[in-house]
Amino acid sequence: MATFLLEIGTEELPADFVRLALPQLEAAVRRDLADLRLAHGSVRSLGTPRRLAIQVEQLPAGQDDLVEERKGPPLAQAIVDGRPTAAATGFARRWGIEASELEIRETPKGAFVFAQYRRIGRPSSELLVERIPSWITELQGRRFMRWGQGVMRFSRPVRWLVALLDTQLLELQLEGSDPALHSSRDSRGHRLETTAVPIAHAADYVTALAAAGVQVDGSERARWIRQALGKAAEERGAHPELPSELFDELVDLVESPSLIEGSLDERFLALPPEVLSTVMRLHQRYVPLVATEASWDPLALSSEGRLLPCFLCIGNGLEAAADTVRRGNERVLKARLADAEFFWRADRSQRSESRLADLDRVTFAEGLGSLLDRTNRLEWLTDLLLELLPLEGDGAAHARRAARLCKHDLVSQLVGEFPELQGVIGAKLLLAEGEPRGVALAVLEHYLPRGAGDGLPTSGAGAVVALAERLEVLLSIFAKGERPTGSSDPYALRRAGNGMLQILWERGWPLDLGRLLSRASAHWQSLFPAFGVRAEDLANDLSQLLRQRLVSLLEEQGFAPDLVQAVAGETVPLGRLISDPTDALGRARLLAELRLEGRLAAVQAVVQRASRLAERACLASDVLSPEGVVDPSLFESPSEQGVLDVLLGLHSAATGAQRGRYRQLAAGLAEGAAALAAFFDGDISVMVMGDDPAVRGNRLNLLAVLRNQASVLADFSRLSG
Amino acid sequence: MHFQDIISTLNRFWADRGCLLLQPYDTEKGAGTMSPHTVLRAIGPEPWAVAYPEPCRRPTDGRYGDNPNRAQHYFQYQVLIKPSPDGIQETYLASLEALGIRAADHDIRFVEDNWESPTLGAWGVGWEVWLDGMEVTQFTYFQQCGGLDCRPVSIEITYGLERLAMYLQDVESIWELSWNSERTYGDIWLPFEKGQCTYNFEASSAERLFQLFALYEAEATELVERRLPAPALDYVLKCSHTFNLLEARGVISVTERTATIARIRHLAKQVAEIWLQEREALGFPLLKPQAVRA
Repeated sequence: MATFLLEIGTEELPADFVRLALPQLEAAVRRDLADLRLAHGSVRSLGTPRRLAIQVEQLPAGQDDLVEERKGPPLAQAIVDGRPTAAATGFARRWGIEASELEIRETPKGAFVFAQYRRIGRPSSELLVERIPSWITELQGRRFMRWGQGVMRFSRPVRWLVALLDTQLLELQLEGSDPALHSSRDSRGHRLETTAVPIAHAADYVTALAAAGVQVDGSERARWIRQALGKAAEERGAHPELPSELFDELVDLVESPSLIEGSLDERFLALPPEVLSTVMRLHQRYVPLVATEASWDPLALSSEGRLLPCFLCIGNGLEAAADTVRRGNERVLKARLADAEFFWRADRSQRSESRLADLDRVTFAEGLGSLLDRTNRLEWLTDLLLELLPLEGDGAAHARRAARLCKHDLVSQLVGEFPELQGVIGAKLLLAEGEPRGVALAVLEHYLPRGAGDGLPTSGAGAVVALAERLEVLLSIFAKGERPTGSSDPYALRRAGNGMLQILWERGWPLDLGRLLSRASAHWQSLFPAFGVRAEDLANDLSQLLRQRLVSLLEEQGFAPDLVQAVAGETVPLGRLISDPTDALGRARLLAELRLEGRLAAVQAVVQRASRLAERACLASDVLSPEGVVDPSLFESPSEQGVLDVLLGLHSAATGAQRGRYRQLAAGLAEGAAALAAFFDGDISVMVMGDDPAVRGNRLNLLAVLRNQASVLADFSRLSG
Repeated sequence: MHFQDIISTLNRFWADRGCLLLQPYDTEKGAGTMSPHTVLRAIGPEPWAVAYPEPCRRPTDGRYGDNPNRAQHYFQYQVLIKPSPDGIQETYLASLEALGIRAADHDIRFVEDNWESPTLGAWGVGWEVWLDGMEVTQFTYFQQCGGLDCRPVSIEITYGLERLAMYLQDVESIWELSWNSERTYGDIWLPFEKGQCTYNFEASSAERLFQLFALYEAEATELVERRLPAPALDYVLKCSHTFNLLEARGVISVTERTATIARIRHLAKQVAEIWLQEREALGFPLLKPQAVRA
């Protein structure tokens, strides 16, 4: 049993490539070893910014021989007069044996000749040499490159290759690399090690590299880094602000992690915490420290009391130079924060309201005027929303003020420098000027949610302005005639639609989007006569988009696709869905609950049985009451009265607006099972498709009203079993 | 080490490795890459190895000299070697050592950073080099230039001279850098910085800049038609700089920006094509063995 080692040495790989490539490499190796019938022990994938490696334990010296058998022609055709025929000799030759070696065996279909042959197992070393190049060239990643005069493509130039089976060098060449690349036993250590690091035995790899200053095991580096950061933070009474993206990157940014603890001038704590965090985390990959006792105020103007005037940084070894490295990093941070401080002061020296004039100089999109024009439309929408969604207390006033000022920071210097802080900076500048917290908070929150999984506005005013912001972009871009396509959605219109629905759901606001869109579309038609768009078309197209978003959001929430189709699919009238998008969510939840409890099937059975025949009735799908369409005087059996009683019982749940009506409807439908069974089968059942047209029509209408009442809850025909 | 000594040290270093030492090109440009010594020479099969300092103009980065880290006019030191040689990272590290920055004393790291110039139709893959957390160099393997695939691939190394100098001299403002033992960077460049900022942000006429842009674009278009890549590039560069001046005035909208960049890129691609054809017609005269030690 032997250990196999492959190391692909490279120039510095992007951190995410190391993370994505290692599982691919391991999968390819496992797949091929299985394919080659090479049993093996553990497979370990290792990597740093300068190498991807794989180590396989307990590989056999070679494949076992393989005995295989093939069935040939029937005996009668293979041997005639005791001699092999041409068919038999040909068959034997194909499998590399003599005709005399063929075996005769009985099968259920008679006697046949069989060839048995032995495939001699090949040595592992030979097989590995054949497969290694494809393990390297198969790896996928973004933005691959060529280098020198070569044609090979990889994430970064490949510079060396170590391939060993125990102590044996597996000799191979990688095609297309410039310069030509031959495997050897020479690895390379940390950049400070100037000489090669020969690997004597494949099993020595990790220790040999450790001696050369490289921790090749990413999970070990991760463990070390997490512990070092945690400990350093704890000593200062803080915890590290360490989102998983930053942590993952830190692990694959170094070969030998070391901890650098830097400090910054306390005066920078006067800056908002988001500014410090953004500079530290995104620009410098430093870890900010958050005081353990700190509370979180999204509108905090300064970092005092929240962030410590220091940072942690993961260096690449070099303990001896720790002091220089720390001072260097402190310097860089200081320069960056001095820049931010400069912008923050400059922005605060100007009143936010005066920035609105500058917004007029920035074009929003061709034909749609400036960002100030966009703001004006957004204010109009805010007013309209406030008519439909009255807010308590100062909410409405805050929303109106926030709508006016929500984009001012787009022309501030700080947002120019940190675009990701739009809204945050705007809110804080307003608060610093003495605007009410409610206004500032709404400005901050009107960008929420930024995407799937993001938080939602916590204030009513924030939610209203967020709705207006999304409606504005949807109306304007649609009015222009642009639509999101499968591959392209440059204005993030789908996300805007999702955001609106998420906000409405979370707030539980029963907003009639149909009414809203029809009024807004008329306004947009008058604003942009040049686009030649008709208000009805605009409203309808937007309603369609919102239906799609509703369907996709429900699916993202984990509702089964058939259930989503039943409550919000194409067969559910658009007007109904749009008139209250939270209603569909409520119905989806109820159906999911019934299905989970095993109670949905009974309801479904009743409705589906009724619906099949109801299709023959000439009754509009919006008739929800038996009154006037079912005539009890035409009844011939008590079972008809039984169904009518069910319909009368369901009527209020199907037409009312009371809470819990859907639950009532579902319960009533389930209870109707007995009445329907009596109607269709048994002693008092009736023949629906009888001869008398009046009696037949009456019975069909009974079923059609039932179907219609059920469709208030869902289109049951879309549900699968 | 004085600013001028950094340039002469890098000159000496790269000359010793077989690079041609060239001087800045005499047209305003936003980056050293835009010099024909890079943007044209990276195209086609002929080997090339060059090093030069290059002044860069980025009107929107101007701060009237008030900001210690930003200026609308600054210097890059540019190296371009084609084909990219093995061990180029180690050579680069040796160049830092020549400046007194020893790898053993500093955390020097190659951090992924992929470069793209939408105006030049160029992109490449590489790193920003961090010196104790400070980005001091951009390191790029050119994959496309002027919309043409780079075969062979060039390596471009762009040193941020002011940043390196601030580190080496341990000063916290560009303007305090010593150019030589007598004069500071500010003594020399601050008057220009203030005046240029006033022009870029206040005194320039957007109307005339738009006219200039149209004229330069027409000139470049005609020169492309006449198959004169060298002067055509000059006018593409003038278009690019005029566009940057318009941006500094804040009169270019987001959509106009994209559209205008596309127009410049269209021209840059044509220049690249006629340059390649011109070289091909000459039989690629530099296509003879040349030794570049990395």
